[in-house]
Amino acid sequence: MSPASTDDALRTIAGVVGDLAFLTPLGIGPLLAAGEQELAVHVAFRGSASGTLVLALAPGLARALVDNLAPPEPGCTPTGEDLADAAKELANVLAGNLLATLHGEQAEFQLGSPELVPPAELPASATFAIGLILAEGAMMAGILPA
Amino acid sequence: MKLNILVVDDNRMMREMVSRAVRMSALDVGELIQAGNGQEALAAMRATWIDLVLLDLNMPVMDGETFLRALRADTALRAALVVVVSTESSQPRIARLAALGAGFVHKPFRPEELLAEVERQIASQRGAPHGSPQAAGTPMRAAP
Repeated sequence: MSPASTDDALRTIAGVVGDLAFLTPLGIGPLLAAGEQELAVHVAFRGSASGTLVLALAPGLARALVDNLAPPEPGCTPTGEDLADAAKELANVLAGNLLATLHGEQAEFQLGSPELVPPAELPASATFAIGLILAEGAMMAGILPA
Repeated sequence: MKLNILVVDDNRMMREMVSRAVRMSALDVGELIQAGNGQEALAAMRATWIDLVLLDLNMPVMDGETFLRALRADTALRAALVVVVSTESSQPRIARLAALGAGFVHKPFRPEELLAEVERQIASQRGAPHGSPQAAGTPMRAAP
C-alpha cells in the first residue's frame, strides 16, 4: 500500500469515528497490545479481496461509543451487550468504508457479521494496521489477509 | 398521512439510532417496527402494512439485497418504498439497488441526509410512471 493510500485510510477511519460516533481523533498512536484492549471485533469480508478487519478498543472507549450512539437512560449503566453492539457497529461501518478506500468504489465485498473475539495483537501478516488516539480513548484497526 | 416504517438492521443499536432519527424527523410516523434480518422483515410486512423500509444490507439469515428482490417479486408488498442504509460503497451494487427502486443513504449518515432521501423517494413514487416498481401497488396508503 502506498503512503498516499495510508493517508486516505487514516482519513477514512477518522471520518467514520467522527461522523458515526462523534469521537474526536487526535492523531496516530501505537498499535494496542492484547493487554491494552477491552474489546476486539472481527469482520470477515470476501469479494474483490478477502480477509478480516480487526477493530480493538482500549478500556473506556466502548463506553464512550455507547454514550454517543445510544445514550442509556439516566442512572442506567450500559450492559456488556450494549458495549458489544456499539463496537460491532463501528467495526461494520469501518469495514465498508475502509475497503472502499483501499480498493476503490468498483470493488464489491460481502461483509460477514461482526463478531467479538478475544483481545489479541495484530500478527505481522496484517496488510494494513493503524493505531488511533482519540480524545475518548485509543483504538486500533487492521486488516488481515485471508 | 402517517407512514408505517420498518427498520431492518441486524445491529440493535443501529436499529435504535435509525429509529431515533426517524422519530426526530418531520415525518408523520405511524407504526415504527424493527426487524433483525430480511426474513424477519418479510414476516413483519405480511403482518402489518408498511409504507417505508429502512434497510441494512449485510445481515445474517437473509441479507438486504435478497430481501429487496423478494419484496419486489411479491405483488402484495412491492409498493413499499425502500431506502437502503448501509456502509456499502460499491457503485455496481448501489446501481443494482437503484434498479430495484431503492434509495440509498451511506453510513455513517446524518439524520437530515436520511430524511432527504426518504422525501426524495416519496416524491419519486408520487411521480412514478405506471408499470414501475413504485407504481405497482397502492402508493402511500394509510394503515388499514
